[in-house]
Parts: sequence; structure tokens; C-alpha cells
Amino acid sequence: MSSYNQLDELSRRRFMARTAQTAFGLTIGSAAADLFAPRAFAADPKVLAAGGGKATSVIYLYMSGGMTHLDTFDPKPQAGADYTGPVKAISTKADGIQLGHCFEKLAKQADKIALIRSMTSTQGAHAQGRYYMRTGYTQLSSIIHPSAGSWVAKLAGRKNPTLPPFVTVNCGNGHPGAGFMEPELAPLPIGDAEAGLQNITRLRGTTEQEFNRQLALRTLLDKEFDAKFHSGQKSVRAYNQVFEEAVALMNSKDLEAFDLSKESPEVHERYGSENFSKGVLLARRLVERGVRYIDVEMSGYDWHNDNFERMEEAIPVVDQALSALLADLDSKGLLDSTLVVVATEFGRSPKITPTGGRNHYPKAFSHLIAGGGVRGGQIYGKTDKTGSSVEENPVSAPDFNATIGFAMGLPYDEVLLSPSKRPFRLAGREGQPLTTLFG
Amino acid sequence: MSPFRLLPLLLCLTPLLAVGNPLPLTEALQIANRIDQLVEADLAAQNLPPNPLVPDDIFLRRAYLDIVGRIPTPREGMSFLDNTSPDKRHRLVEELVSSPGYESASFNYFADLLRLQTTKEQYGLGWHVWLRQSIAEDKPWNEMVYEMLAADGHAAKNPAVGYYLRDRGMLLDNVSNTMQVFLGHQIGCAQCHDHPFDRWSQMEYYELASFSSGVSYQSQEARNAIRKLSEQMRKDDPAPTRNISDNKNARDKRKQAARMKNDRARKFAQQFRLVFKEFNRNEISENTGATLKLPDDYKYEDGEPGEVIPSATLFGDRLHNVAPEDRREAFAKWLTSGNDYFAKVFANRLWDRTFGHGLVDPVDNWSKEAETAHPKVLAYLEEVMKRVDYRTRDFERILYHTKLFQRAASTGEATPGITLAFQGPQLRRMRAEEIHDSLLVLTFGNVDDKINDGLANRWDEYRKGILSLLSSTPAQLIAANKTLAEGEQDKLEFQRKARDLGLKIREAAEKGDKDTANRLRQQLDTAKREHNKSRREMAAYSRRNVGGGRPSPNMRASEYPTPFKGDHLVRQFGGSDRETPESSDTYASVPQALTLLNGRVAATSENRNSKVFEALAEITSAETRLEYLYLAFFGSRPTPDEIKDFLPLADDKDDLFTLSRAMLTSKRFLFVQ
Repeated sequence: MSSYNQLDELSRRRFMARTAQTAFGLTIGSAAADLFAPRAFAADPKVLAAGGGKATSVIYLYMSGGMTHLDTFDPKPQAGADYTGPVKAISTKADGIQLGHCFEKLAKQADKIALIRSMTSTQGAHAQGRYYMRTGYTQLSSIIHPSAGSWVAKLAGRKNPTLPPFVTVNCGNGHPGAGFMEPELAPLPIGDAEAGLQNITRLRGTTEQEFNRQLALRTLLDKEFDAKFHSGQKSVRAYNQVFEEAVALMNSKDLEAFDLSKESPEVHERYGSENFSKGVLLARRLVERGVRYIDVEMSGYDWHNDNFERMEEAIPVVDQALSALLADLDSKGLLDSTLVVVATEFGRSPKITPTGGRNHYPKAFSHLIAGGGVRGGQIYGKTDKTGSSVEENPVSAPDFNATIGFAMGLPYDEVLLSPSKRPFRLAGREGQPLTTLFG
Repeated sequence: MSPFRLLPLLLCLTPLLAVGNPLPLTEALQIANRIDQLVEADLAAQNLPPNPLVPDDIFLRRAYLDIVGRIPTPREGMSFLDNTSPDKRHRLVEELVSSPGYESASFNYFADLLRLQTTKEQYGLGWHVWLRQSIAEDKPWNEMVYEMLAADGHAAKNPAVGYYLRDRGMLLDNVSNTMQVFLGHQIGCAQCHDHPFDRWSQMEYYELASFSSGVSYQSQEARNAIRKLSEQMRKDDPAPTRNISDNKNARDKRKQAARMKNDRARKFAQQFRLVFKEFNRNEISENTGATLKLPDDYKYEDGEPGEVIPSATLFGDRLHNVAPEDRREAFAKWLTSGNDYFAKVFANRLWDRTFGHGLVDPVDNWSKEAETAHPKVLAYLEEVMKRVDYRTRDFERILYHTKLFQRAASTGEATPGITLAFQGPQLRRMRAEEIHDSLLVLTFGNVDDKINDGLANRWDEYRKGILSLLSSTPAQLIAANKTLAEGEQDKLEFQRKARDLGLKIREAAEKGDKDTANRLRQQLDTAKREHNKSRREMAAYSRRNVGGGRPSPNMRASEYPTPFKGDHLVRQFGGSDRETPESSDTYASVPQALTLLNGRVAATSENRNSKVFEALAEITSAETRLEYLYLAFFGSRPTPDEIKDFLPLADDKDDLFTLSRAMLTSKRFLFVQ
């Protein structure tokens, strides 16, 4: 039996678990839930020995549009004003780590973070760049690859049986989602973190009995349609899936995870008031309730003009939310089991343009990675003196995804076959985890 | 002999068929018939049977959703289903194609393709109105594209400049999108390096991009106006004849005089700075001296970093050494008529829009053109596109008249990017705007004629404002500039105050002093309100914030400024964010299910006085009530089995409500068969 089929078998059992809940209108007890739950994955002892396998959840913060590396994680104070503009490099709590001056709060927690200053990509356009970063594969016309979040959901399974394993917050269109994988591995998209999950309770005036009848009638109305299209059309199966998932979610006792009003005003103020800040706070609440992978996007990084003005507006927002998150996870004892990353599709051209901007620059850029067993206070890789090319330890999107898999103790190099029988891996074609970050 | 082979001859003899007139129905039908013959011949060669023709109810729903972008009302449904004329399907197509609903649906399609953003600066609104008008007047696609690519000047005079302004400062991206959208060529990779598996080199990319290298996002209009005004002012206010010290030689004197003159010009220009500030955001001009250079990290042997690259085309008519002032026009002409792709790429796009999959797929990447299962159909469509003079409406009308459009949807899904033999159209979920608009139909009935004039009116207002600005006297302009300067000052003060209050609120909150925090929050709110009021007043001078034109709730998705905000129903169902070409999708998600299950959308308990429930309340027989509900949601009458299953629910209004909610969540409602 191929591994793909085995995983399908697991999907089927989870499906049955939820169908049982839906059909009988009850939440099955823990014994029965365990019966249906996927087998826990056992990480390779070698991975554990190397410091991997500690993370059980991932918070993936995505800076959409291409975040400038020179002004943030890879400042080059010696490169000259043509390159640095008005940016100052500031010292941090960690010896030898400097950050752009907008990361003032993060600087005080630099002992928790690792910077990867040798990211490199071949994708210089936004849509393709994002796709490559999230999936580890370059975009093709004939298949949609699953994003790392769906890989994690598939390989790690659910930790919380009623909450979806993969949630995206404020991610624009074009997120690859579950790609060719079955619809149940698709993310639950939240558009506005503060508004949370809308329409999660029955319409006013609709009794539980009426609601259940409505569900039964729906099945009956679609009888003929399903007979015709269910087996051949994934989009049709996806709609069965999301309705089941929605009903399970309505009955979940962990729904309040999506309700940010449960957090005190003080907490809100620590994270900040922007959409993104709220998304980061939501991510923390979801991690506390066992969601595996939360992809929170902050858009608007495409600073072809006025790079430095826009930096002063945007980076402090990330600085505040990220710093609050790291401090919170630490104080709650969750930092070791939660991998936090800051990713982007490419960097920005080191030399400042005549309009005070920076253009797309996939050749060299930076990511941040923290928690989940990553040793804080370190730098991985290096760019040359103007941040224009990678001099040491280049890291690709597949390497980065392999590292996420390694941190979670997942079989990142296990091959799964797509429905068209093509082989794919979480680690992309040849990604290797950055094992030296751990332990 | 096919009737079409006679057509060229017939056309010569029919002087009535001037360019711009819709195709006569008989010819449209002949062409549709020819397309069917070609498709079916290909199927026969592969031993594939075409799918059977669909019954009337399926056709009805498909025709409404595909052509006018919404479900039919029960009345529209009955009038078609009860019609006994044998050509009623063709009649319905003719009726729908020429109705306002067609323009609404078309607009959504083109806005997604072109990444239209209504509220981005002022030109966005102008571009929006321009697109809407172009569709309404059946402007041929080649003309639309030419107007956009050759556009120049201020948006108030030529709103098609929106296409370039959309990508301000991202010229190379704009070139990639242009090639992808209009010619089906993905050359984006070559922006940074030679294309790994296509034939494009980075050099060729730069040669192509060089055609638009003169695009300057600065206002020539404003510069001219300011120069004219400054001259005027200098005349009115002659320079003080200050003594230029005598002990300097003549050359120094001249230099000093020139410096003084420049200083004065700058001082005058400064006075108009704020008034014309927005001009630079809404205008492009051609800088004939500008060139495109290879990037600093250029690594191939055919060029040096920093080398100036002259413009040249990649394929089709070879253009090179075009005079700088002609570059963009030459490029626009080449793109729309100087190569083999423009017509067939567009024809294939419309085929995809109608049948759910391209003859060449994906429609924006033609590198595997040779793999199409229907090469003759493709070649013929190109011919037809030229025959209809690139009029979208006529071309689509022909496709809707084909038998293929009447065939059952295939039960299996087509793989994106893999060629398909067309036995029938593809099953698809309703597009996001179609869901929005269909919910409107349930609530309000047919609202296709509710047009949001607000957008066009506001644009007109803005345009007039700009034109009058250009003809204002210096005194008027100085006064306006002064008001704006005060406004800027107010803004800075407000920002300082808001920051201060924010800090104090935080301090109070940290100390647990809720009363103080609340009092300060109120102060902040008041300050915000006042500031917003003065900003609105200021807008009259600066010509900013013209994005509005708020539609009323009974208007279709096409009547809204675009894109919808992230939390809007249209976005939830995959409506485009207008960031990349055709970014809309129809993927399932849990929030969609929750909206349909529990949301206050169409015919909910809060809204039982929607059209559907109004009508139901007046129907006295249970059987007719059930039929009405079926027509409203599915455009169909219940089968005997369905009557048996559901008739008991039609007696009670709560039961009927439960049934209608179930219908709203059914795939039969969400999908187009």
C-alpha cells in the first residue's frame, strides 16, 4: 500500500468521526474520538537527538509584497548612504546581532530569535514568489502544490478534533491552500481577525431541531446532483467537506479561541491595533487550543517608492506584535513547542532607486525563525557587504519548509503522490533542514 | 459545402454590414454551427461521444448565470419553460446578450483580468468608468487594449492611462502582466534571469520592456501650468532691480542674474505645489530622453550591466530602432495587430469563460499551444474574432448559440493546464459575484437595471475640477494653495495630538485607571471627528478622496467600487482582490458554509419579506408554493419524486423557510450544471 493511500485511509477515518458527530448530533466521547483519530506520528530518534521534533504548532507570519532585508533583519551600516538610506543598525540583547532601527522592541528579545540572512529565490514576481515560498515548488500550470500548512496538517494530523488544523488569517487571494490534497486539509480562512468567525451560531429563531432538519433536507435536495458529480468532481466533494466542518465547528467547545474579546484591553494594547496585530494575537489563541499551523499575512510591502517612509509605518507594527507574541509564548511555557517564523517572497534591491524605493530582489533576503527548539541569538548565513548576494549557506524555500518539518519531527522527505501520481514532498524537490539551528 | 465558406463572398455583396454593427443572427448561427461541426469531428476522431443536450431547466439556469451573471427570477423561469417555440433557446440567448445584465457580468470579468482598483488615487475611478462605458458601447477589444497601452496624459483627459498608473513604479511587472494577459506569454521569469524552460532571455525581456521605458509618472500638465503661471506672476510682479555689484565681471553677473531668476521661479512654483500635488499621481507623460538599462547584476555575455537597451519585439513583426516619441504607440500597435497571438489568445479566453476550460490551457500560458485537442477550432475562432472585429459581445453570443453550450456538463473534472476534448462544458461553482447577485434576485427580483450613476457622476465632477484648475487665475490658485497649506498644518497637529492621547490612554490603562482612559478615549474620538470634517472640506480643494459613489443595497456587485474589502461576502466566496490578473477563485471554505447556513443572506428570518417570501405568502396552493420555491432557487420545477419528498413541507411557513435555507446551502444552488 502506498503511503498516499495510507494517508487517505486516515483521512477517511477522520471523516467518519465527523460524520458520526454530524449525523447523530452528538460529540463523541474521547474513547471513540481516539479510535478515529490519526495515529500519532513518531519522530525519528535521530531528529529528536539533533534537537528537532519539539514543535507541535507553527505560527507563520508572512510579509506579503517582499520585505526589505537591508532595513530590517540584515542591516548594512557600512554599505554607504546609497544603500542604507536613513536606516540605523541597532545593537540587540544578543551579541553580534544587529537589527534595523524599527525593530526596537524585538532587539530586547533577540536572544529568542534566529535570523536567516541567506534566503535566496529565483522568483521575482509576487504571485510566483509567494507560491514558491509557501509550497516549496515553483508554480506550474498543471497542478497546485499544497502549502506547508496543509503538509503539516496531513503529516501531523489534528491535535484538536473540532478545530481545523490549519488556519489562514488575512491571506489574500492566490493562497495555494491544500493544492492537490483533499479538501479537508484546506485552511480555514479568517478575513478579519478581530471579527473572528462570523455566523458561527444558528440564525435567531432557528431551533436546533429545525437546523438539523435543514441539514438533512440539504442532503436530500442534492441526492441526484451528488449521484452525478460527487465522485468525479473534487470541488463538489469540497463543498460536502466544508459543510461538515462548519457544523463540527459550531459544536466545538473551543470556539472561543476565535473570540479576541476574551483578551484584556491590556493584552490588545501590547499586540497593537492593526489588522496584523490582531491576527498575531488570534494565532496565539489558536496555538493554545491545538491548531497546528496558522499563516498570518501582512500585506503592503511592495515599496518601489518611498521605502523609508513606509518602513516607519509598517515595521513598528510587526515589531510590536512579534515581540508581544514571543514574550507571551515564553511566559506561558509555549515557546519551545511553537515555531514562529517571519517569511516573505523576496528582498528588495540594495541600491536605493531615484524615487526613494527599492525594487524586487529575490537573490538575497532574510527570514526570522524562533521557538520550537530553535536556539535563540544566532545568525545563519551571510550576505556580502551591500546585501546583494549570499556569501554563506544559501537557503531556499524547500530548505525552509524542510526546517519547519524538522522542527515538528515530521517526515519532511516522505514522498506523497498527487492524484495524477506525481511525487511530492514537504521538503520540495531537494530541501534540506537547517539542523544547526536546533539543539 | 459549409455555408460559411460562402460567407466572404456574401459579405462583399452586403454593404449593410458595416463595422460596428452586430452580426446578423443567421450568420451568428452559421458560425456557431461550424464550431460544433469542428468540435464534433475532433471528438469522433477520438471515439468520444459528445454529451447529451440538457433539458430546458438546466439550460435556463446556465444561460442566465453564464450570460447575465445571476439566476433567473421565477417569472423569467416560467416564461422560458412554458414557451413552446422550437427556437426558444436561441431567442433567450439573443435576449440576454443584449440586456444590461450582460454588461454587469462582463464588467466583473474584465475588472478581474485588468486588476482594476477603483479607489486607488483618483485615476482608478476614471479607469473604472472608462471600462464600464467601453463595455456598454461594445468597444472592440483591440481598441480598448490599444487605448490603454498607448495612453498618455492626465487621467481627467484620458482615463485609459489607469492601466499604467495601476503599476506606478513597477514598469517591469506591468510589462510581464501585459504579455501574460494579452498575448498569453509568461516572460516574468526573464525579468531576473533567462527563462529556465521557455525561450525568453533576460535580454529579450529588456528589449521588450524598453518600449515603455519613457513612461514617466510625472505630470507634464502640472509643469506646464506652473511654468505658465510663474511667468505670468513674474510679469505682474517685476523683479526688484537690485544692484548687482559692479566689481564682478560680466560672466559672474550673468550667473548671478540667472540664479536670482531661478530662485524666483522656484518661489512661485512653490506657491502652487499643493494644488498640483495630486497631478503627479494621476498622470503619465512620455519622457523621450529616458532609456532602459540592464540591471547591475546582469550576468550574461550578450550585454554589460548598465548598458542601454534599445526596444525590440520578441516575435511577430520585428520592430527595432523605434524613435523614442513613437515607442509606446508602436508597441500598442504591435501588440494588438503586429503578431499572431492577440486575436487567438482573447478568443481562447472567452472560450474558457464560456465552457470552463481553455482550448489552450491555462489561457495565459501558450507555451504548449501545440497540445490542444482542437487545433482547427482554435484556428477558426481566431478567424471569427477578426470577423466580429473583436467585439466581445458578438463573439460570446456565437459561443452561446453553439450546441456545445447546450450540452450536459462533464461529470469528471478537467485538469487545469491539461488539454481537453470538449464533450460538454465544465461543471463550475457560481462565481463570487454571481452568488452575490443571485442572493439579490431572491431578495429583490431582477435588479439588472439598477445602475450606480454615482461613480460616473463623481468622476465627472473630478474631471471638471481638474480642468477648471488648469484654467484658474494665479490669484485663485494661490488662495487654494493657502487653504491646503493650512489643512496640512491641521493634519500634523492632529497627528501629534492623537499620538499624545494614545500614550496617555495606554498609561492610564496600565495603571488600571479606567475612568481617565475612557475620558481620554472620548477626547480622541472628538478630535478624530473634527479632523475628518475638516479633511472632507479640504478634499474639495485637493481633489482627493473621490473614490466613493456608494451603491444602494439592491445593486449588483458590478456597481460597487472595486475590489471588495476582505470581509465582504464577495471576497469570502473568492471574489478578486485585484492584485494579480484573474485572481478570483471558486474554492470552498468553512466560512462560506457558515454564511450560507447561518448568515443573514437572502430570505432569512429577518427578511421574510423578500421577494420570494412575499410571493409565497400570496400563493394559496401548497403545490404551487413548492413549485415557486424550486423555480426561485433552482430555475426548475420539482420532479414527481421531489414533490413526494417535499410537498408536506409546503403547508407550513416555518417548514417552507427551513426548506428554503436548505436550498440555499445545496450544491444544486451553488453550482452551474
